[in-house]
Amino acid sequence: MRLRLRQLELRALTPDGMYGAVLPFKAGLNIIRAANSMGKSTAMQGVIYGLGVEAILSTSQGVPFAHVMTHKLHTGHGEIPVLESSVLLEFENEVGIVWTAERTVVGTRHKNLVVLHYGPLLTEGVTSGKEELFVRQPGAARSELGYHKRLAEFLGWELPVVETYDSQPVPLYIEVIFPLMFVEQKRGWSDIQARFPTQFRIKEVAQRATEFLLRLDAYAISAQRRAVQERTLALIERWKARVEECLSLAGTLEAKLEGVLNYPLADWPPAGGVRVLVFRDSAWIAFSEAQQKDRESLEHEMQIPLGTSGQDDASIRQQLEEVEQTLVEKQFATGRTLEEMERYEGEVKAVQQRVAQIEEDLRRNRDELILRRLGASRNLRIADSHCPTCHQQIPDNLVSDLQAEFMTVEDNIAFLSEQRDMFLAVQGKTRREVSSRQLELSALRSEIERLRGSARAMRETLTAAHGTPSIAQIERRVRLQETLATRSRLGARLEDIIGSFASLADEWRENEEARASLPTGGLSDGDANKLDRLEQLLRQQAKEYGMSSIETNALSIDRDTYKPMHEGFVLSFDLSASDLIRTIWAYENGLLEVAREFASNHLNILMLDEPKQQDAAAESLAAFLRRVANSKEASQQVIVATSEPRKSIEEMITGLDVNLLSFSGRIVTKLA
Amino acid sequence: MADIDYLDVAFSFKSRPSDLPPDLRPNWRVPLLLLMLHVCCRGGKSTLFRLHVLNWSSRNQENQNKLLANLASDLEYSEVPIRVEPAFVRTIQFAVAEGLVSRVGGDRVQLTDSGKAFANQLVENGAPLGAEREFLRVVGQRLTENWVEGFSKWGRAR
Repeated sequence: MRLRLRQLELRALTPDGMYGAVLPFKAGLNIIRAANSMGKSTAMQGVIYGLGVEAILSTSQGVPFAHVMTHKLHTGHGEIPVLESSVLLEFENEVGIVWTAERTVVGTRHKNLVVLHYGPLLTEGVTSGKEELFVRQPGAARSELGYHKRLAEFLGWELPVVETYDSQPVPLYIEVIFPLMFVEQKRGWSDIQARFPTQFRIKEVAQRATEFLLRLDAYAISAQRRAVQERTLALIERWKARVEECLSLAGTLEAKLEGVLNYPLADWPPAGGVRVLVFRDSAWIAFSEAQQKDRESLEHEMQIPLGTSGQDDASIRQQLEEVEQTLVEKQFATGRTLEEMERYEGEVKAVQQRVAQIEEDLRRNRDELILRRLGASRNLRIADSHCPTCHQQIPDNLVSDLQAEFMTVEDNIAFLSEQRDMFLAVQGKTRREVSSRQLELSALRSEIERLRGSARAMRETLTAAHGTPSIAQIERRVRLQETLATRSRLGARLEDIIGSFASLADEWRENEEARASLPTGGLSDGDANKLDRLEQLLRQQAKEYGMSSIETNALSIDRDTYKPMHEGFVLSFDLSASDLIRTIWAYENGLLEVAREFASNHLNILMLDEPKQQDAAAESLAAFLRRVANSKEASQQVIVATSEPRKSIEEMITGLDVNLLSFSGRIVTKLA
Repeated sequence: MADIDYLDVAFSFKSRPSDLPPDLRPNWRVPLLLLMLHVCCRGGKSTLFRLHVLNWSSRNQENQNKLLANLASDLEYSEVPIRVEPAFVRTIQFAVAEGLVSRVGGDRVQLTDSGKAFANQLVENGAPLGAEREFLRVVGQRLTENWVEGFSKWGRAR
């Protein structure tokens, strides 16, 4: 990726004729030097305006320029009004294609239109055509006629889709990437990464922009992780739906299922196999066995010749007595099972409450971890278990009168998670007891129903006219035949569904494997190398630029936020004003230098408006200029605007290959 | 010689750290205090007495419901949960020492600028303390000093 600026032209039409400025840029270090309020920042703003990224300067929709381009400009003899003005910026990409962007500041053309000339209009006066594109309006990054969409393609940037605070997907706008390559004068020096536009409402915008710029895998990894997570949830849903289907079929069969879990398995069938059990004569037996028994009793029944009423009254009476006896027993069993079920239901409820309590504690503990980090970033002493008054180590709790020793929050989370898992296991087991009782109950009830039917048929047989066929026998035959047929049908369907878990289990296993192959901690090995290198460059430069208020080896790059840190704290608090400036140099140039050694999306350009500020010493600036002058060998470009006196700058760059654009007066002057 | 052989062995005790409810951690409690002042108190300022009412009622669902029911109707004040919790007193001391909260007069505290900045970060979507923040939002600024004073008078009259 590369953006190389070739030439910037500012043009202003006045009643006194055409005024303007021409600034030719070269590879390597370019220095724009002029005294204060002579137009340096106007020139830098011209570059920003030409690229349409003025959102990095302010959130307003206004034109980001000083009076010189918008209202009136100073000449040697006073002020004259500006009638029309525009900015032209010629730039080149990685493969040497040159475009020129022309944008009106004051004039009839709308300021959000950019005329793109395809060719080196300024340096060679040649173009192969032009087009009007729009910018700073919805769609500029996505529409075919959007300047930024075109620019991103030109630069070879494939902008990732990121999330806003409202969870809307948006492209990572170009404007949020530029602050890593451009430090503007007004607020850019107040903090590291001070000017990330927030108006786009992109979540964790600084992280996203840095990940993109350094082409870290971290973003892709977190996107993959989200995708895996979504698949996991979907598979759990499908699995549960299928389990539901099984359970409902089993319910119709008055059967219970063993081995079918509510949570996906990677191997199917499960270790103990899947068993379908039905309740027969106070015991759970396999469904197939029950079917076999029923088939046998039907065969047996069919072999008994159909008797007639009055033929065998004594034996029927005896059978009736037995049936009624069994009925009483079954009713008793029903009552007992009902009691047991209620007891288990009570247990489930109690465990549920306990689990909810633990979940609440877990949530608070996790919040504590985040809050402690937030507190640390605000330099709270308690975040680090120190007393804010006497600065001594204190126990991390609010009951410190006790001598007791408490777990750390991390241990506490582990402890609570373990407890929760245990209670969930208990809950699962108790739930199974409940549903097993439910099935027993429904089996008992249909058994009672059947016994009552038999008893009724026997009584009818006893009271029927002599010679009519035995109603009891017929009833038994019909009932057995019907239940057998229905159950075989449902049983076959249940078998099918149970078999179909195998393909779900395959999908689950694949997804779990994908999860296992993601690196832990969110950074790939390549990412770690880049960040290690950035850290190294940061320390090296901080020393070179004469950082004094802290030990440079204690500087680090935070692996979550990618910001420079000092002993685990964000820097801005610990640093003197001049050291903050040095850190910003070191960080922004560090990014540029990392781009020399690693694949990145850096545009290999760095622009700094007034890097000296009032605080940094001249030797420091000289050291910085010496270092960034190296950018030429790496075919990179650095543009620095400064108000250092000419003599002092010339001393600093002696022996360096620098394109010095020094202005003794105003930058915008009358054009010949 | 022991009566039971298998007890006749050397054994030792090892002290293990115990579980601590997260609301007794200063790094959890101080931000909650900031939220109370920021969300429920005008100008981020409150008497200690009102903070104790807020503190005790935000501790769990049951207390939360009692306070809300009371604010919504004319129930007896006795339904309002109120305890002076030493841990909360210590929380206020920490917050004052960290410069997040300052004492105003004898019995009031107020958010400082840095306390306000932290609180603003905590009311953003997705910030921690979600459930607590929701409760405080529902209470809003209905728990006025007048209301608390009425409650205190009622207590003394009994």
